[in-house]
Amino acid sequence: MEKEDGGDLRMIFPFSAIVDQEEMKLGLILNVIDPSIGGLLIMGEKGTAKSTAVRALADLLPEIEVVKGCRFNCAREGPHCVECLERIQKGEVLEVERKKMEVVELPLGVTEDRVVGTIDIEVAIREGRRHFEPGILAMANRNFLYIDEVNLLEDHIVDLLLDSAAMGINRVEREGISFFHPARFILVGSMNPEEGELRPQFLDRFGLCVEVRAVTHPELRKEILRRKIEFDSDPKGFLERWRPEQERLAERLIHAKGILQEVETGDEVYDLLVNVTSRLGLDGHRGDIVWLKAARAHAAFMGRKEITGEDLKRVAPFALRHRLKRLPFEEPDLRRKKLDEALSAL
Amino acid sequence: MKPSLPFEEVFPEVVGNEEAKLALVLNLIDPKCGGVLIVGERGTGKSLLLQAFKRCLETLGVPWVEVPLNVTEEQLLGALDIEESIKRGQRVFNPPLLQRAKGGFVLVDDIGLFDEGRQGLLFSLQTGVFVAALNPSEGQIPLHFLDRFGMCVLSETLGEPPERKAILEVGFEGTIRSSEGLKERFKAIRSSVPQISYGEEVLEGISRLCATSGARSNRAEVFMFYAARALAALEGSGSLSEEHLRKVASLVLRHRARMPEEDEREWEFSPSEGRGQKGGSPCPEKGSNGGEGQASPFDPGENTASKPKAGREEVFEIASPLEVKGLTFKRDRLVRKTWGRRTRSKSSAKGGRSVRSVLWTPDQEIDLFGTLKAAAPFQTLRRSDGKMVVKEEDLRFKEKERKISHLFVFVVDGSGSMGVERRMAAAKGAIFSLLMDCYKKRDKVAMILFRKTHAELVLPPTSSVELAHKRLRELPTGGRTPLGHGLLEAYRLIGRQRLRDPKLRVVLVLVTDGRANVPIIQGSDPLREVKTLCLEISQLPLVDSVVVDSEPKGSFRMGLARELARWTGGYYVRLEDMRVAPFIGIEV
Repeated sequence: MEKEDGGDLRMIFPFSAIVDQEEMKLGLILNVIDPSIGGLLIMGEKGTAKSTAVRALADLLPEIEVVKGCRFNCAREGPHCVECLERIQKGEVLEVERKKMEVVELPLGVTEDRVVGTIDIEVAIREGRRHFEPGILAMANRNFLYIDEVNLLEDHIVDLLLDSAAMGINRVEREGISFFHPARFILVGSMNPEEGELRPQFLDRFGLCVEVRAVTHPELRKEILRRKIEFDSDPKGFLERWRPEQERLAERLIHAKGILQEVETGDEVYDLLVNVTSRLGLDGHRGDIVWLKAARAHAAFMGRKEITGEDLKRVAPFALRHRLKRLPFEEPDLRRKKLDEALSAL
Repeated sequence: MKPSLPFEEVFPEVVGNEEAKLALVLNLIDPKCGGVLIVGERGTGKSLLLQAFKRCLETLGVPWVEVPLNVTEEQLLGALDIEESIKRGQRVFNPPLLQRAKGGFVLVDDIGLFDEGRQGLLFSLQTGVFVAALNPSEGQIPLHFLDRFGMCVLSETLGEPPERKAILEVGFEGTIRSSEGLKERFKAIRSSVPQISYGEEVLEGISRLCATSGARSNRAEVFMFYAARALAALEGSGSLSEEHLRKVASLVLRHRARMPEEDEREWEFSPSEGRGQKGGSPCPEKGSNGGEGQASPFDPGENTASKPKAGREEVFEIASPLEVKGLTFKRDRLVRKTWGRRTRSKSSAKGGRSVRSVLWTPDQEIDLFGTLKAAAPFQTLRRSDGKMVVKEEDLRFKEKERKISHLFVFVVDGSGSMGVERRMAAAKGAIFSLLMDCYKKRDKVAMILFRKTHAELVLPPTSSVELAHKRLRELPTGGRTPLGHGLLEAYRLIGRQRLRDPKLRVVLVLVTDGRANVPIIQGSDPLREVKTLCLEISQLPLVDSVVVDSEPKGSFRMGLARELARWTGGYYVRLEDMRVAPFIGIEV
């Protein structure tokens, strides 16, 4: 898709043209269909197309409606930021405009001020008044927030992000400013597990977790290279060739989002699910909820209005893999076996 | 008797957590109950409860303030109002944040994540009643703050399928139902509170309960009284009875009680699945990282289940000994406590959280807004075409806070004597439990193995404790004891790491029986060399040593390891003691 805004034609590699990495692609798709799933953690080595995939997907998605003039991308129907609330109170009817979903990246070494937002220094100097300067959480509202190497983030920054992500709201009490605004975003983090682990509490906050491995198969590698060269040398043509696929996928996503609320969850599905999770002895209940939501999104993606055992099975590793750890040193294979065993009941 | 107010109606979105709901309702009825601290691991509904409670407050029209994690100290104290200060030409301050909770509640999610500075401010500036959530795996609050909470409840994972299902159904739906007529019903109950009668025996009952529980502070009695009275009102009783006392006792005493072992069962909440064994008393005195209170060196209740697998070299599985039944406040080993990972210190290194604005720091990172605030009140004097005038005396700098990183260097004896009687297995078990701690606190770990004729850095410093674990499992035994080589390798490693990070704190854990018999320099006395190296190491700043003596108890002790401890100026502990209770205090 081309961006046609005043000559800035940014060509983004089409999502459907990404070779392999099916897990990651599906993980992202499920989150798009149901953002309440809570984000995606991508575990893998460098160079496995992680941020490419996120940008490609954002590019694929239809535009969203945001309140015109709102610095926080508020949705017309709410939840509203302080500024929108003030406008509504004054009797204003909020107009909307359309915008593409963005991928906001969190820089490493970012400060609290930058993440949460702070007082606008310029306004303070020039006009001597308090004005809130939005931070990254503000920019991320209604968008994707991508964090590369999430395991290298400073703890206090992690805590701030988790807080907002969980509540969907950023409440700021700093520098004489009291402010709040919605902070609902699709959190995507990447990390290389060899470089250190995430705190279990942090892990648990990511809805889904997928593993990506460098593509080794020579044929596939050739295909990756070929597509990259084609895209680089003639992006327009490449995009044109892939347009039908892209549109198909976009259709599917829109349709899935549309029928999501109509997907039935039979009683047996609940039973199957809790039997597995209680057998696995999962800590906390987030895993159960996320798994079910992911299964529902999957069913919707498949065009079905009913969750089946197949849906549960397909998304189980995504939802459960990072929640299995009880003891930090259980062998990964042992954990996988535990999961497979528990899932065989499905 | 009027029917009581069923909890489902107050918090329809929360399944289970009956105790927590009761505690919150009692506080809604009478805030003199003193607030609630909800303690639980992740995913157990703490935040959910807080949000549900907040919605209640909104319905009832009770004032509240939510304290976000990003709150600055200034905001808590009352920040400078830059607008007014510029206008009026004097320092004008906003009221402290908590003032907004006057006559109401202060909600703090994840209170353990706040640094000690802000925690301190929260409690010393307390206005209104606190309702907070705490995940003990993520942080703690000191004992004396704990005591400020009227009640303490636990939230837990419900393990059984039917319960999981109930929670899943509600969590999945995500709809929030509000209850009818809540406001009126609460009003009625609240107005009945002052009329509730009580006799002497109730007061006696309260003091008896509190005394036998071992609660030190007298807040316990006060809170228990109000809690029981609120319960009586809730149940529609006209008078307080012992029954009411019994029902609220655990709420009020859980975080204050100091039980002799036998009686602790009385106060225990239902155990979480697989969590700890019959743990020590629920007394959380070692919970604080700030050095509050003395760590009792001996914890009688600690139980580490070790199940050796078959085979020559095994790694022990150690059950999670940190989680004590009931209140899950961590016991920190003396070692760890001294050099706690969450040790915060003011540092000049880049990065780290900016805590406050000060007149000078060695690093001189300008705090722009702090400077403007300092300049604000003087603008009317300095008047200049609408632009702000900032002078040198206004300059303010950022004081940062940075966590100290720790490097644990394990220097392990791999000689033949370690293969005897599975000493190596025991050593691995002990190191393993230390690794668990490192994992939780995300310290760096390195491992040096010495055997035969040399020492090898088998694990360069890494924060991947999984990798450390892997190496640990693979450690072989056999050969003589080149202890000197091991120490030298460690010394060099520390030197190299120091180049990169001069503030690095190192803990050197030496596991050996001390029987050095391979010298570094041909012909030298190995023990002499070792002594020299130990003395060198003892001179290194910010290095603490622990010598783990792998020589078994018995008549044939040479006691060399103890000498090592003396020479390095470090701690001494016997391997077998670590196995049984790795969190025992350490002999010097």
